[in-house]
Amino acid sequence: MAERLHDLESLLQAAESDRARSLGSLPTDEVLRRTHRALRAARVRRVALTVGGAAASVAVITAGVVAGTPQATVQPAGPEPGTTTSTSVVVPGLPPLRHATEEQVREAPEGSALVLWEQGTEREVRLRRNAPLGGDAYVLMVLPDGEVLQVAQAPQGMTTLTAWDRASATAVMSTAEDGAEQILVDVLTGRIVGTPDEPLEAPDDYRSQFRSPDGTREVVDRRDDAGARIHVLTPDGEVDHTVPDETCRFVAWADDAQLLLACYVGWDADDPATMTPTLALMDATTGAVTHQRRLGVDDGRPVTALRTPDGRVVLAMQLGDVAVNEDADACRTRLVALDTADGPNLAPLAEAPVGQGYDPLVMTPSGHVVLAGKPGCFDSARSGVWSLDLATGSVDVVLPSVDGPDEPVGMIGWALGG
Amino acid sequence: MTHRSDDVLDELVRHRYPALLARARMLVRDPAAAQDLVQDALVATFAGRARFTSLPAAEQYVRRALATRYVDGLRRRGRERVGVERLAALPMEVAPDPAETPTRLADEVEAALATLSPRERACVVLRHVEDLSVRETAALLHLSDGAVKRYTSDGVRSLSSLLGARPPAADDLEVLVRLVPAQEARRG
Repeated sequence: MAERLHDLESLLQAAESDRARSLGSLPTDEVLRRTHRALRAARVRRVALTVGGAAASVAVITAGVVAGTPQATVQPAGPEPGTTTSTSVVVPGLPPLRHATEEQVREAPEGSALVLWEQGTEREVRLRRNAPLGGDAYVLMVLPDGEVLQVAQAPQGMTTLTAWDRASATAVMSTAEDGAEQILVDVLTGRIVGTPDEPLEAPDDYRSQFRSPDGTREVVDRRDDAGARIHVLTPDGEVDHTVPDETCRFVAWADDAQLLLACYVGWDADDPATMTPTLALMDATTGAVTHQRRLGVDDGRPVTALRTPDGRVVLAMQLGDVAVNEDADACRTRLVALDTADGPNLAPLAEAPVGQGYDPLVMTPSGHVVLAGKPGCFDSARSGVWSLDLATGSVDVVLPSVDGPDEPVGMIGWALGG
Repeated sequence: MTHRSDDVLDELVRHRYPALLARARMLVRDPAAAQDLVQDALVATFAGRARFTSLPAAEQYVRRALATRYVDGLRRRGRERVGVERLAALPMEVAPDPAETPTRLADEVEAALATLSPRERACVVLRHVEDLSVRETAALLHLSDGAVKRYTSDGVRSLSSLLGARPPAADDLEVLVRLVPAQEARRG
């Protein structure tokens, strides 16, 4: 026991051995079956794309391309930054784009995103990895209204984009070969300007969901041994509420007074029933659960929430599961409006083919939602960006995701402007 | 077609699954989430180009993949992962697996690890359970050396206090107090 072991390393290792011994009788047949199933799904896509290796997949798993576009060729970078006119630039895989001015980059509206767009094909990317052939990714900017602008060419070998600071017009990128090093890039010139002062932390991009709409209270993400509870921080202190089930999780503030929870029993990816939650409304002041509604398998499960400009709550529902589905189209994202007048009811608004999305989604002032991610269920799918009109349900492709060995790899990074 | 590495996968799961799951439980306390993490690491390992012909090599790869997949899951903006992470973050009574025998030591240590931030937890596990160097840990987690030292140091301090254990030797930890040259010390 802990009190008899004084060395922390020994204690950790003993605890791990102890746990392993306690699990010694766990049956593994089912584990193997599920793992092979997930492995087959992952391989099907990779084989089809003739992509091998984890390193290659880094560049390939998040990509998008227009079918039938010309073979990728090295295009000249756009005009020098700082120009005040927007000229047309050709980026392989995309229709001609306007070149972003410095002002457009530095004063990009909230909700704008930066994209790293690989112009090489998969084969070219693989060859380049063995013998670098030159800088081959473009920096693009996606405005909240869906317009895509070309900003610059990225420095050679960049394969990930993790952050973008609009005001300073800098972004944090890294290379596949040296992913441990974070590189600060001037996005206007495409030149490396150094390294970030501090290593980049994971963005707290869902934090705002924890605050009540009126800003007076906040759900606190804190763990302790007090049992399954929701902690609500109020101006007068913290109140703890017991959740109706051990695996309830906070989804969103339904309004200023109520919390929306999703409660699961089991969470077994191989058993759709356990992945289907019961939605519950909890009074944020008293902790009383006022309504519960069991969702159907076809309803999906909530993964994030947004608030429309007029104050409505929109939930992004995940349909299908990337770990178990071999049907590529089974995994999608459906946006639904939350209605709490008579319990938590959901009204479908729009649907996009995104099975694995980037966080966060963007709510535009015009009531569109912009979401980026990989379509379908396969981990190696190429990413794209879609804009969903909540009023009409129509879906526009902002940046496409199209397979093809002779097509540019396309989108490999996405970062919202900070 | 049966891949030879698939045979290694089968052998690995049959013989070392409890060990892998035990490692995952140090990173995510929820048993179901830990199982998902192990599967994620197995798929990531065996879906790639790497082909393993020995069990120890494959196991080492998967053990490290557990930590990287865990931290990558935090870093990536996958909404599902955020959702799962949020689920894991909520306090909960951990229901033991029926096939699991009780273990007070593991329960205590996992509970203590669960109080750390995710990156602190990953750094402590890689440095002091997997016995990786600062540089290796930094490379695996895509963090700077300094960040690894800081996360490890903070994590070790918290764990040692919670568990009443002696922290590792000082040279394993970041020296947070910078020595001031004598000349500077006399200034003012």
